[in-house]
Amino acid sequence: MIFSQTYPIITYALMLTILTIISFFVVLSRKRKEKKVLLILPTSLEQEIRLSITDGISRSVEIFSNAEKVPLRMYKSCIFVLDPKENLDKQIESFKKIREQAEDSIAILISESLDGVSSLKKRLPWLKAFKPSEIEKVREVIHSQLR
Amino acid sequence: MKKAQAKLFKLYAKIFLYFLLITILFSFSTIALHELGHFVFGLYYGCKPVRIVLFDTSIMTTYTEMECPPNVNMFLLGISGFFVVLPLSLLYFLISRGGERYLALIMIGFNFVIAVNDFDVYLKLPFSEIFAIFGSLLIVVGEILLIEKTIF
Repeated sequence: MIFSQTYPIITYALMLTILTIISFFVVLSRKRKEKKVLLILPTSLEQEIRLSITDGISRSVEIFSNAEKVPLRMYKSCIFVLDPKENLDKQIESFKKIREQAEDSIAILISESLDGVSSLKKRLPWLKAFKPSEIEKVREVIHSQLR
Repeated sequence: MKKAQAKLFKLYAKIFLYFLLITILFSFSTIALHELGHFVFGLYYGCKPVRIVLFDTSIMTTYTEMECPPNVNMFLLGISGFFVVLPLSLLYFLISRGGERYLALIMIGFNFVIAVNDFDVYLKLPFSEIFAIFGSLLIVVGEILLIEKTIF
C-alpha cells in the first residue's frame, strides 16, 4: 500500500513560489496605500512642537528624534526639524539622504539668530527658517505638510 | 529618489527570498510529518513498514509504503497523515509569539494541499480538489499575516 502526494515536489515548490509572490504583492500594495509621513524632531523641541501636532490627521505619522534611526521605507512626505544646537552640516547631509525616501520634503530651522540662513538656503532650497517666537507658524507648516 | 527606490527594491528582493525559503522549508517539513503520520498509524494497525521515501528521483515525489493486513481500517489510515499535522501546527500556533505563529497557517494550508490524494483515494470524497484550493487560500492568508507582522 502506498500513500503518496498527487504531484511531484517541484510542482509544490512552484506553487509555493507563486503563492509567496501573490502574498508579497498584496502586502506591498496595502502598505503603499497607507504611506506614512516622517517627522524628525530634535528632543530639545519635542515638548513645544509634538503636543497635539497629529490631532485631526488621518495619515499616520512616524516621529523620530534621531535621523540615523529612520528605517529604509518610502514616505508620503518628510519634515525634518533641524536642531540649532547640533552640527548643522551633519544634519543637512542626513536630510539630503532621507529626502530621497519621500515624495516631498521640507526642512525647518528654529533659531534665535537667522543671520546665516540665506547661505543655508542656497545649500538647502527646501529650508524654512523661523524664530522661537514663531512656534505657532512652525506648527501650522508641519500641520499642512501632514495633511 | 531613484537611489532610494533601488535600495528599497534590493531590500524587498531579499525579504521575498527569505520568506520564500521559510515557506518552502516549513511546507516540506509538513510533508515529512504527514508521511510520519501514515507510518505511525500503519504500525499501530499492524501494517509492516516498507519505507518512507522523502524524494524519489524517478517519480519526483514523496511517499510511504507499507504492507497492511486486508481488514485494516483504510479510512483512518488514509486520513492519519492529515490528522497528525493538524494538532502539531495548532500547538506551534499556540506556543510561538509574534508573526512567526502564522507559519502554522501555512502548515495547515499545505497539509490540505498534500492530503488531496488521501481524501480522494481513501475517503472517496467528491471534488477533493476543493481542499487544495482551500489550502492554497490558507497559505496566502498565512503568508500575508506572516510578512505583515514580522517585517512591516
